[in-house]
Amino acid sequence: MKTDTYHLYSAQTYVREPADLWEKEGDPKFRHRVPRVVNFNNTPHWVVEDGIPLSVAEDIEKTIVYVTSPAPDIYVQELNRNGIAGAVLYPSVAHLAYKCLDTELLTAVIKTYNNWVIEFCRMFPKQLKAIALLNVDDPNEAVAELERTASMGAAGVMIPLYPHTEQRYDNPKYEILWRTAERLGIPISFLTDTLRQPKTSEPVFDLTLNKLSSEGDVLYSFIHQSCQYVYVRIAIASLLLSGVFARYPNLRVVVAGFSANWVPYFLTRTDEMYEVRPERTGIGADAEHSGNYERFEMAQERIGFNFTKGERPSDYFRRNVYVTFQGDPVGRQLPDFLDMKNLLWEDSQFSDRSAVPVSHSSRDFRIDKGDRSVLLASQNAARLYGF
Amino acid sequence: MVSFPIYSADSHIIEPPDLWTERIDSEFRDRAPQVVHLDDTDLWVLDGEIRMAVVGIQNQAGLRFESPELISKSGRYAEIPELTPDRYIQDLDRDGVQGAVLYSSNAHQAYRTAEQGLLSALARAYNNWIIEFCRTYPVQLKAIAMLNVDDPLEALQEMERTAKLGASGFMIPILPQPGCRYDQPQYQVLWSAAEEIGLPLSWHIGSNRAVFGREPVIDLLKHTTKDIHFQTAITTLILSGVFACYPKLQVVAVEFGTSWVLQLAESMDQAYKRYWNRAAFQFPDGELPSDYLRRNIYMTFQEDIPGIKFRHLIGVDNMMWGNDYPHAESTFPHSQEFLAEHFQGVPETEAAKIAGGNAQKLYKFPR
Repeated sequence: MKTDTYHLYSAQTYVREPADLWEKEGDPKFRHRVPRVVNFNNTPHWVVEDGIPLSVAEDIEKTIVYVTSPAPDIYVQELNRNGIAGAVLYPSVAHLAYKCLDTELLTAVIKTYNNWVIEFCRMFPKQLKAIALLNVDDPNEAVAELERTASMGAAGVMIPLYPHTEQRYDNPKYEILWRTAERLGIPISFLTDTLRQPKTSEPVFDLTLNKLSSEGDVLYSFIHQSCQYVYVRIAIASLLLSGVFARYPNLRVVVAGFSANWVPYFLTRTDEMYEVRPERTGIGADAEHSGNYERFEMAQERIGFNFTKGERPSDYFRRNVYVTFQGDPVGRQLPDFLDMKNLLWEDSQFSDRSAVPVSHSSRDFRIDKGDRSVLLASQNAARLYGF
Repeated sequence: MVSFPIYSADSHIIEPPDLWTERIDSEFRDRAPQVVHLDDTDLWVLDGEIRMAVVGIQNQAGLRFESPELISKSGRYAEIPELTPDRYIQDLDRDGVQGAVLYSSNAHQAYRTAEQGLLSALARAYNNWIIEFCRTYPVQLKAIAMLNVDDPLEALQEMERTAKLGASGFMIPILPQPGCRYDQPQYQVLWSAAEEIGLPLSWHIGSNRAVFGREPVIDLLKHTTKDIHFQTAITTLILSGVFACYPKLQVVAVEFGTSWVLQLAESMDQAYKRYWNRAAFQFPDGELPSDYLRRNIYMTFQEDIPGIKFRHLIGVDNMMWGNDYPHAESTFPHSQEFLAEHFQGVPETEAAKIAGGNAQKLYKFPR
């Protein structure tokens, strides 16, 4: 059975920005610091600011140097040829700019990308949906960009997995962001490789404790690649445990690109800890920290957000959080096993090697007519993003 | 009730308040862990300033089933019946558990001190005490000794000493001291010795050495994500080729549950498959990082329905149940009911391994 009869909707597909997007379209003030491709040791690299590396601008086998996505009409044809009726578009490079140290530059980079991707999708509004990026260093500025891009047609927005140094999303300063997203009906996404800054004084979350040298620590880069998904757990736990979803019941958050394998452990552990530990998270939880161990230790019990009796964190996860997956065995079983209905199908192969979507048949998994979980996940994507 | 013997791969003792003041080398006596009496709780403090843990929540097994709202860190030693070996065995019997592997409740919190000599001294004192505690019931109780790995050669000596005394395994910090990582060559003596002695190494939750002097995790969010660093530690050992070089080395991830394997296996394999030609260690014969997860890593859980559901992806031979007695999270005194619920629909041979068979084999409980 051919997949193109199914009209699948992908909640996560990549688009490749033009290599000169920011140099041509960006604010001239930042022209020499925007994301750009430079040659380093005979290898093309994306860099930003004064040389912060973002990624190698070629594929692993060094066969394809960075290739820009084709024009929207060709892009849509390629999607359709692969059985995909519509796709939500995420960037290939722009999100890596969350590594910028200069917040003003980041804002400029993001605005350029947002304008471009919304324009890219504008001609095919039924097939292409744009995800805009937000800089959350200043939540009020993020809200302004959220409103601007929503009015231009963005179907969703993306924020960094971990906000600025020493902050988490349970911080009350982000309430305005959740409130606005709920009011506008715009889903907020978390994507891989979007730490605003990995350095933090919070030791428990600091993966850089595993870093031995500033350059050339090959093992650390693998540790980071393998374990960075813990940050999405932190982001979602911050929202769940501080009561954000209780206060904003119609807020929808999408976790994209991490598969669904983390979900069973996350839900089990979060519910269990909520039930057996007296500590809480959220407003008030850390307010009493004075550095004095007596006050710090004893001030924590059940101060912060408490769920209504009988409710558990996982209840809100099921209601408010959407997770993309490609068809992996764990994800397929979640709807029945954990009553996790909010799965979205993703077609994210369009990242490393090609400027056009890759046929399903080349995947490690198979999609066939009987794969109910994939079809349901595709329908969820259509509903969430209004295809 | 289940129809096979169950063994707990993760239980705890509660250190008596005078453990270190009575047993530590005299030169460290003034800096040894001591109990400070606060308004309504007893708090362990190390070296006069480092907060280790409060005793209340360590002795609230069963409360979660009766009055979970009363779970609290408040509590005093004076209110707790002394946890003697005899009482321990009685409670194991009451819980329907044949035997238990014993970890500390407080000693491992001392990994936060930067003072190497102090840490080694308190580890030796603890090891002597816990081995003595278990000696009364060697068939049922197995002691895990604690190692300071700042000086791996010194750790090696303590391994050999405690193994001779009867230790059944060794606990090491999840991350070693700042600036160090377990792929460094100085730790190879540990991997080699553990393999040769034939006893497992353990990483227990809450035993990170890389965060000198800092406050331990406090709020609920941090409790839910406490597994972060042990996952990086496992990744370090696997991706640096430690298990490829020491194929019989066994490492136990204690009290983190089991279903974390689902994501880590995928993430490691994905990173390795994409960038294998840049990897720090290239595996032989087409092996993947997840192969070593299943070959060399054991993991314990108290309750983990998803873990049981996805046991074939995780590894039936790697999963070990533990009752976490006498802590508040414990399944005591309902471990039998918990396990019966967990194993509904699971073939008995698989359930028996997870509930006790794997622990019995790894820790050499008599058959």
